[in-house]
Amino acid sequence: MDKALTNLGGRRVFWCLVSACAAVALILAASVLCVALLPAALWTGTLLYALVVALALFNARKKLPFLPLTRASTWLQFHVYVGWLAVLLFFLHAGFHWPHGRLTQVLAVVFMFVAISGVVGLALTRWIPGRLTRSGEALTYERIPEIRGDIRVKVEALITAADRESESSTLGDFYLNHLLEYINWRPGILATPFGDQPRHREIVGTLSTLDRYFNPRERELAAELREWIDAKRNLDNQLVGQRLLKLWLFLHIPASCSLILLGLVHGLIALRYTRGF
Amino acid sequence: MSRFFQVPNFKRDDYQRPDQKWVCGHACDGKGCQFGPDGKGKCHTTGECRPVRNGDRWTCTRPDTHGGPCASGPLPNGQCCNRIGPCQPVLSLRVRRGRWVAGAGTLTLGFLLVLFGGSRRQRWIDPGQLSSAHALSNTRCNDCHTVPNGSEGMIVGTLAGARSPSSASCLKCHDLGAEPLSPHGFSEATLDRIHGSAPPGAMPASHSVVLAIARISHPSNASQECILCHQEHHGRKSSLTAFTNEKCQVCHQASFDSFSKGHPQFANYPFERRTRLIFDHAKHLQEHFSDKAVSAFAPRDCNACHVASPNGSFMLVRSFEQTCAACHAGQIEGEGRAGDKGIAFFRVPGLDAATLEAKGRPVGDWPADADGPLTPFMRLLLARDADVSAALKTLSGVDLTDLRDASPGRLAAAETLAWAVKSLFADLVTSGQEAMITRLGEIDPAAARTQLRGMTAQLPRDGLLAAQAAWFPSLFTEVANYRAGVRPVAKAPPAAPVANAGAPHPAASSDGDLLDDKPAAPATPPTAAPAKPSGDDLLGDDTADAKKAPAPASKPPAASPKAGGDDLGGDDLASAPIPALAAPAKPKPNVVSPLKVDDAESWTLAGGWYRSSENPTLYYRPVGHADPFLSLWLMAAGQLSEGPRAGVAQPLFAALGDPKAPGLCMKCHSVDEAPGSEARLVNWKAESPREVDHTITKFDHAAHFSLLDQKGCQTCHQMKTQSAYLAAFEGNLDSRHFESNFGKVSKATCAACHNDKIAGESCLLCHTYHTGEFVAKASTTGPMRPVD
Repeated sequence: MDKALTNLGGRRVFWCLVSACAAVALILAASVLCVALLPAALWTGTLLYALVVALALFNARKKLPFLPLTRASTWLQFHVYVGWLAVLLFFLHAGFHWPHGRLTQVLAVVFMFVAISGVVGLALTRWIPGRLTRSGEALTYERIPEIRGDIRVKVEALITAADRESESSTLGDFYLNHLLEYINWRPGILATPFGDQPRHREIVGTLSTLDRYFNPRERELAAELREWIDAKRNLDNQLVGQRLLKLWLFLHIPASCSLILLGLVHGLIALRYTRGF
Repeated sequence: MSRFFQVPNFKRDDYQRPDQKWVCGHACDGKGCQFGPDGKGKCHTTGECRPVRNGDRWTCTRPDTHGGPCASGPLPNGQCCNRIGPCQPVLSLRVRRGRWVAGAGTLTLGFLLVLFGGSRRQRWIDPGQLSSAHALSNTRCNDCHTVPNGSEGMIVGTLAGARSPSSASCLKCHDLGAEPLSPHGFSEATLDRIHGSAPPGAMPASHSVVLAIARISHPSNASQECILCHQEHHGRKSSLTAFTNEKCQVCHQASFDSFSKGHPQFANYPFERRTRLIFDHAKHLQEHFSDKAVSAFAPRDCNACHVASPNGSFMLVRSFEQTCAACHAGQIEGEGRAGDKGIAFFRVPGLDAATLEAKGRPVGDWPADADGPLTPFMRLLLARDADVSAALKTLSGVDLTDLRDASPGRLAAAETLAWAVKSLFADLVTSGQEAMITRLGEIDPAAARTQLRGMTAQLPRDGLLAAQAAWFPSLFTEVANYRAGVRPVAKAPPAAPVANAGAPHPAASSDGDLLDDKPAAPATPPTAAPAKPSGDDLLGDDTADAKKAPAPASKPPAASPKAGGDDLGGDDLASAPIPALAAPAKPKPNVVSPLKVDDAESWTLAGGWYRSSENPTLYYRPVGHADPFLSLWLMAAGQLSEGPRAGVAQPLFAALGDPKAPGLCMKCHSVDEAPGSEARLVNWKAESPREVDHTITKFDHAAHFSLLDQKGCQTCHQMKTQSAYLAAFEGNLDSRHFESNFGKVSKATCAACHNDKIAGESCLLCHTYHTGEFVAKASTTGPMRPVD
């Protein structure tokens, strides 16, 4: 058992089983409360809010790395599976219909936004890292500007060498007219990760077109230049991918904050006006 | 060949600190300085290094990560020779995300503050529209939610205190009976009685773990708040009565899967009691309607006698005229009846007046043909007087027509009774209906005025005067004297009574006229006939003459009505006109027989009051079905059968309630004994739903008509040809013990359609939760007149 839990697949199976049991227990409990004419909304709502707060603690846990609060990966697993349970509990609480009140509708929208952004984030964290690894060298996000600078320095050194050694300006002209702009170019916020990069293809195509004008030395340098161009493409992929992995949290976490506040007010109002029925 | 940029080399690479708040502005271009901005986001960098003074020389401190010490070294003034322009530091990604979080939180709080501080706060708090039935309360939360004093309109007030809806708020508008929050509206005693009494035939549920757990957690007999079942704020079209079968079974001990699977067999549905109208379906269909004389009136189908109620839920019995009248109307009116067609209301009882007079207890005039006992009506009317009640008790079993051997006490009682009878009659004659209403009102204070008025059955003035003249010619004088304490003197010679009779209203006497408000006032005849100042009454005078004096020789026997008249109005016809008709002094040999007056009973064919020709008795003949006189007297006697008047009311009820008594009321209308009482309740109407009644079981007849085949109503109601239906009514006042003409409805009949595949089997299809007797609360209309 311990061994099974040490690998990723075993952990997922374990958490899935635990979550499934918890989901069945939640459905059963909500049904019992409903059938027994007990305040089901009170209990499901209270538990839902507690789960949301517990999920939000994951972010707090990341800010307190020095505390012995188990590993962050364990928290992430907890966050993922409890998040699914929270979605189930939300539907049980709302009675599987869209709420009618304005505040509750806003709350439901925020909850759904948090849930959907969480699911999207989960999908991104499952999909992007593998692609990034296959794309090329895994880079630290914060180092990417520096590496871009390094590439530019290296390419400029290469072009200077080409000018000096081949006594031809073909590569120099290529750099000034095409390559410099490409190296300085950064993918936009809406750039698709890992998709075909037209700019890269265009640069490579232009370099290939110039190949017939290169002398042997220039051709050697052009081949080396091509490697730097590919390195720039990997850099862009890393940037887009890692940026996505960070930017979805710009939606998920602030929305979670709103959710907690709105949920608190909703709970107070509900308790005050309905005693949870 | 791949290019790698992150070969770990702590000497050559900068250490990244993404948790720092600010990032060097040049880092975005890949040329970040080694120092970076300070904690407030200020850039203090002027060169690639900060030279260190070593003795009198400045030494370059540029780290290896940025190329190591430069060749040229610092300037003489100690500044770095590789100048770097100041940058605009930028926030790190984490801090920017934190600011987004703070911004979202601030926006949310602002949003909430605007909501709860603004005038539209209520709209935002409102969790949804109310159902259409409660739509008007959508902007009046206080209709249902109690408001703490002083907190209205304040943000704090909104968040503090309890304003939960209470069932009391619901009950302000919804009347649900005496136990509105009790399960099904049952009393505690009822709940205790039925608790644990699972009906036979219930099969335990097999499917629901949820139900099993829920039943443990739910107190079955506890009061139920309205909001447990009726959930509001789910939109205009939401149903407030949606309920699942499982919720019903939480309380019910006999748990079962569904109606078709496990619901108990119907015990005796739909019969909870015997029919209110005694109608033997089997006997009518098998015997009576086979008779050729009445076969033409036989109903073709059930609809001939039954019709669905307006809401289709109940099968009503059509009116008497539409159903029974064709065969039974004449019987009620006395058609073909062997005995008296009317019921004796007032009778001058047989009395040995001569003995009484001989023993010093004269009672004045007493009809010689008086015979028979007091009527039950009289006993009831006389019951208000304690002396009379005592006298009646004393005279119990005594033959009043022979008092020769009676004890003095019984003689005194007989005298008391005689005067009570005369006094009653005098009251009826002089004050008529008012006297009767007054006496009845004293006997039954609970009776309504309309009921009392109906019980008089329009007692006729002239008829009573005629009866008085025939039975007690000197009634007014005698009663007046008696009430004044003056005993009548012994009878005068034969002429005296005639003289007395000739002056029934002795104006000259000190007694005065009973009909006059002022006893000592000048004489005024009872009939107020100015043409006869002598006080003769057109009716009484003639009657007295007819009774006391022999018939004129010239009067043909055939024209002579029965002595004293046999009709309340008959004196006018019998006494006055007939001599006129018999006027010819010399009848011819072939004289035409004069007109003959029918006997009173036949004369009163359509019902009403009449006077017997055989004894001094006043009869009432029923005018037809639902005769108000009989029905009101039966109701009164039934009610009085419990209480201090029971001794006189019960015989009256027995007399009127005899199935063979005139009117035949009890032949068809059953009588129930009131619960815990000896009072009798006559079932005048067939069972019909009352709006106030909310029974636990319901059935929509109309919705099922189109589903019936040739068997029609007998699909469910199968007639029992052999049934002791009528026998069950005999001597039985308990409506719960009965034999029905029809078998109970079978559950299988219903389950053929009512299962989960065809017509559904929700509990609420056939059952109602709120049971009891209640109506919608009346409006609270203000004063109809302007208030000053």
